[in-house]
Amino acid sequence: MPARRLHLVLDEDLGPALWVREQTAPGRSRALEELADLRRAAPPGLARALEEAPDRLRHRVRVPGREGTRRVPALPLEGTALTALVGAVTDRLQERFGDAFAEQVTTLIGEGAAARLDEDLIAMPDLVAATVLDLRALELVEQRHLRARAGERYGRPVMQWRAPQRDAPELLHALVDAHARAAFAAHLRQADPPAEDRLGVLWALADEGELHAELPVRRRLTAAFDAFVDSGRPGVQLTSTRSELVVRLFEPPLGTAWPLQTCLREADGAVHPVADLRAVGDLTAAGAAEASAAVLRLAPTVRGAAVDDTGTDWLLSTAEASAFLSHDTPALEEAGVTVLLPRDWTKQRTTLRPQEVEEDPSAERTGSAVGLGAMVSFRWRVAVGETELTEEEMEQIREAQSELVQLRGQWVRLDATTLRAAEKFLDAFGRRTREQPGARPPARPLPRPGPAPLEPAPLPVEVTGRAPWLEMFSLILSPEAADVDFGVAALTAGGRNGLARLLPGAEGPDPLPSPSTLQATLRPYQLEGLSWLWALDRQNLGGILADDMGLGKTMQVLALLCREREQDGGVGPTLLVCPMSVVGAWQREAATFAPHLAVHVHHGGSRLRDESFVAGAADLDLVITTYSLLSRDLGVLSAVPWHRLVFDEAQHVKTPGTQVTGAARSLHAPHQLALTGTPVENRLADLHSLMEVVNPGLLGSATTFEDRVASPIEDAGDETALRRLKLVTSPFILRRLKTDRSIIADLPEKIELTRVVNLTPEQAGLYEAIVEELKGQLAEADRSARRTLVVSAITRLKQVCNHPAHYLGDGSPLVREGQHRSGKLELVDDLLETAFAEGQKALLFTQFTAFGRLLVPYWEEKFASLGLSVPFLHGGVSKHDRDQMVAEFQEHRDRPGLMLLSLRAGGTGLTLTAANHVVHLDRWWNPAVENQATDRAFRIGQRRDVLVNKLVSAGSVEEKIDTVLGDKQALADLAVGPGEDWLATLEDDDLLNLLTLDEDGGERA
Amino acid sequence: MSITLRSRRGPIGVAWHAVALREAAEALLGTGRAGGGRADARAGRVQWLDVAAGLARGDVLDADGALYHARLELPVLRADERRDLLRVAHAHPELPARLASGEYPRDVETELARSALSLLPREASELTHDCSCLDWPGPCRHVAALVYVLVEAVDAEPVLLLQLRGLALEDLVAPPAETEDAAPRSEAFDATLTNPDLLAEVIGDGPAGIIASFYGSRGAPTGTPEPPTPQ
Repeated sequence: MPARRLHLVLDEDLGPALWVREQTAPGRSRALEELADLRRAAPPGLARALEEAPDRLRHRVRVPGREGTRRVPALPLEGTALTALVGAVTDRLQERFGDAFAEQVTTLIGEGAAARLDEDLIAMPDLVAATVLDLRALELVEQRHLRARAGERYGRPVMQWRAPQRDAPELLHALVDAHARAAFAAHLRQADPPAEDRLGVLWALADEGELHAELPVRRRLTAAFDAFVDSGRPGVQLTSTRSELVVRLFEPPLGTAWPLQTCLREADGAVHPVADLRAVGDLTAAGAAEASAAVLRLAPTVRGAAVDDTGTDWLLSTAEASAFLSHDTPALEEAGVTVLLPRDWTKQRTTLRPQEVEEDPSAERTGSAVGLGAMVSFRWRVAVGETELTEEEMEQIREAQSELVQLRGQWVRLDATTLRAAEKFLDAFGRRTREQPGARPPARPLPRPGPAPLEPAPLPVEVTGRAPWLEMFSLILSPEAADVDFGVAALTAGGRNGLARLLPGAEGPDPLPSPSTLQATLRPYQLEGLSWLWALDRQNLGGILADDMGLGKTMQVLALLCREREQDGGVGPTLLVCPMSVVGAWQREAATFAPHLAVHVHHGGSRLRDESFVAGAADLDLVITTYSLLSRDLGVLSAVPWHRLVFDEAQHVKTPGTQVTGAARSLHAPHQLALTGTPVENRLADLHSLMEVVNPGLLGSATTFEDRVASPIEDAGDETALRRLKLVTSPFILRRLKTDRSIIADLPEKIELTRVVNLTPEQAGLYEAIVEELKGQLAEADRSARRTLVVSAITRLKQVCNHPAHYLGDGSPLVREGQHRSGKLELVDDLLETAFAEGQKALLFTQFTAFGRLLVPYWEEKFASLGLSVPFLHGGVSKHDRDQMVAEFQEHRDRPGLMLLSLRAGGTGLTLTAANHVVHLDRWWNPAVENQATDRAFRIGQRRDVLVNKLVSAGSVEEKIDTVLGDKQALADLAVGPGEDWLATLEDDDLLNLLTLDEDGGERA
Repeated sequence: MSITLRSRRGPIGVAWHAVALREAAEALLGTGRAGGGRADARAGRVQWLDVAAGLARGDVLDADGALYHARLELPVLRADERRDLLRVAHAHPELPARLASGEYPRDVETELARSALSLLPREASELTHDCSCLDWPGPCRHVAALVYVLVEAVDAEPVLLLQLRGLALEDLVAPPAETEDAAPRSEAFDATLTNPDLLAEVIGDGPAGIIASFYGSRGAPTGTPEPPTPQ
């Protein structure tokens, strides 16, 4: 049989193909056209591989020959036909070479030699090489080191498996495709059929299935496969689309060229310049270009900048760097690009620092033009960060018109907003002040004797001008001061009692000793309050004392009255306006702590309403009246030359347009003071309204205040507007909190106050009728009935003190035509409003369930806007409901809330620490029971201080028993026990003394 | 699927390079064909566009309901032209980023012109066309529609001009000076780490899951006979 040589070629059109050269004679050969002979003669493995092949070779492939290319008959080999043939050759060679197979084949390939398969059959070098590629292909498929691409074959879209290296020999790709296809087909047969494969990718990968994809989809498919395969590569995996883009700006290493780098951030946070990634091959050039392109698209400044030789980084001029920071950075950050700036390179804010303020020294002496009208010299320094600028530096910044300036050798990034704001403010300051604001450096201090300092510190420039305080405050609140950052470390001064001393950062008011005529020891913070009141007073300025409830605002006002009488003598009367319910409390405190003051209550039906009142008032120290009388008696009240007006519970005059507010504003006196426990800073319209009463005009008109200050703060959260408002109002508002232990270190954790409350005329009338009735009954009663009579009368008296509707039980409304019928309820309403304004909760105790039932609907309606429900815990509430009430009450600690409890129900192991106000609406006269109730709120875990109010009606049996119980000696003498039973044992005279209403207790109609 | 033009009226193409391409192509098309093509392009008749070396292709749906395969060809640069172009490009390191950002700098085109080179058609006759429709010799309105879709694509992505001329962004970057440092890129990868989401974006979750499980089943028994172990 003639020798046959097997060639494996890779044809451009057909792909891998086999052709056979048969030796016909020595030196002569021809290409085989029929396979039948070969198949018969071949070794069995090879014969099997050719089993499927047609006998006659109809295809032609081009092969290079001695006389140019020629076309020879060939067998195209696809898929399994290819792998079967190459596999058969491999098997044959392994049989021949055994263990030396690899070595032998390598040698053959190196020499380009053929291998004999059997006597007459020779595998030519291209076929020998294919055996090695085939083993490589098997290994690749085994390890799934495969790519796939969507291509086209004979005009038909197909999927092709490929070796991972794109430049691998085409025959390797063909072998990989054949093996991978078989492996994937097996995998696909085992897998669950997919729900949807609209492109037909799976069968196109496994078999000859058709791919349903137009050219652009095929490209995306190939790209997706590449991305999928590349995601399995360990190490840096960065693509411009999937990694976070970072732009890094550096300070100029030399001169003024600012390097700007395009970088990508790895998942672990490491940032690499794209130029470096591209250089080591971790990022394609297209990826690098895409990253830089994203920067170009988002940062218009960079488009015009000089590029460095990487093509991905730039060198910016100082002006460009500045424009980049101010204009491009926000757009980049918005698009999710991180902009990295040099370390510690935050924007430096420009601040205006007020310097020592000089008030006109003559003002304090002569008393002319004091307070808000006083002329003041203002001086401002301009600081960038912590650096106070010199004149040259100011000039340099103004000329640079750039966000980046070099200050004292360092590059500084200016905060453009505050810089412009400061410039604008100083311009307006120049226009509004009398002096031309010469920007002059302060006089250099005289050289001191001794060695001169080597380098004098640069002298900051100061902008100066003179204006009245009111003008200055108005400027600070005007739009021209918007965004101005006023330096907090303000160095202000001005006389002993100058307004400047009260500004933030200043030394504060001149401290005063406790007035000797005051019969009480002021706590340190009360002394501070007195000093503050005094400093305002000396300048005819009004103030708002807004201390928390229970801190003794009354005491501080009384101390002020004592102080001014000690100092000056011949001081005119003070008019105090308060709710009716606290008239008695004022009266009592004044009598207790400042008995030398002449106090008059302008109140009740018999009050003076004519000339005699005006004449008499001149000799008084304190006249107390109520808000309801303020507008009614305005004529006579405004005829008195008051020295001072004091508005207690000043929230009553916060609503503009009401009669009371109008009356309050129409009264005038050299000194005005408002007292309130409501936080005034949280309700800006209220603040304006209160300030109009005490310092008219300070905050401008209500409309401009709303536009320029209130709505920017409340609607837009404008921090600088809030700071400016605080700057202007802080001298005039003093507010101390019970919770602020640094200020009030000596305050007990629990404050217990007995609140003496006036009876209304209605209450007083009912009260007296009950006492009269009892008198008659006592005369006739025998010993056994007496006890019942007394206890029943006391119960009814207590009901009257609570509320007329409670006693009458007639279902009448608790408030009639806006007027309170009960002094207690009026006070409790004020108290609740103040507590709710701070998001606090209150517990209210009563021993009368019937009273509680009246209060629940009343408060639910009154506080409907807060969405409050009023739980009422009394003896009839089931265990389950009680637990639920307590849980709901305790849940939201920082929300307003109140709970009503009957004293009996309060005694059973409840924890209600969410509340920090406790009110005892009526008295049990048993300290143990009351304390136990109070301790519902005051327990371990309570964060805030608890304020306990025990309400007592003025002049009534309530107040009298309270006094008796407070007097330990009386307790001992009378053998007074807890509760009320002991009252029945008293003699008639003693009993009636105790029960009869004292004159000053009620307002008589 | 069809391509929607951004331009609703007036000339198509905004950037200077898009205008230049359009003008060269319109010289080839003639006014009548141009108008028809513009209308077809705006009507979304071009189903897809593919740009490869020397060739832009797309399927265009005719009013008769048939799909025709339109082609527009622009010769790939010869080796010497390519060398000259790369010389110019390497002197402009920012060129890849500019092209990627949608900008083809005019000064680069001016420098290319000194070597009688251009990324754009140097004259209308450099463009040739072909279509599967019967309107022979054309240019037919399918080719015209393809032209306008191409113009708008090039407007946003001037990189396509580079691709038409047989180049990629990669080619424009000068190879690093010290080649010995550039270690051969490791092809090692762990098939189990692959992220099927990348595939799922194109072929859907089901098929992607099966392919991913195939990659994850490395070394499992498969339909392929065990390879002989070379010693």
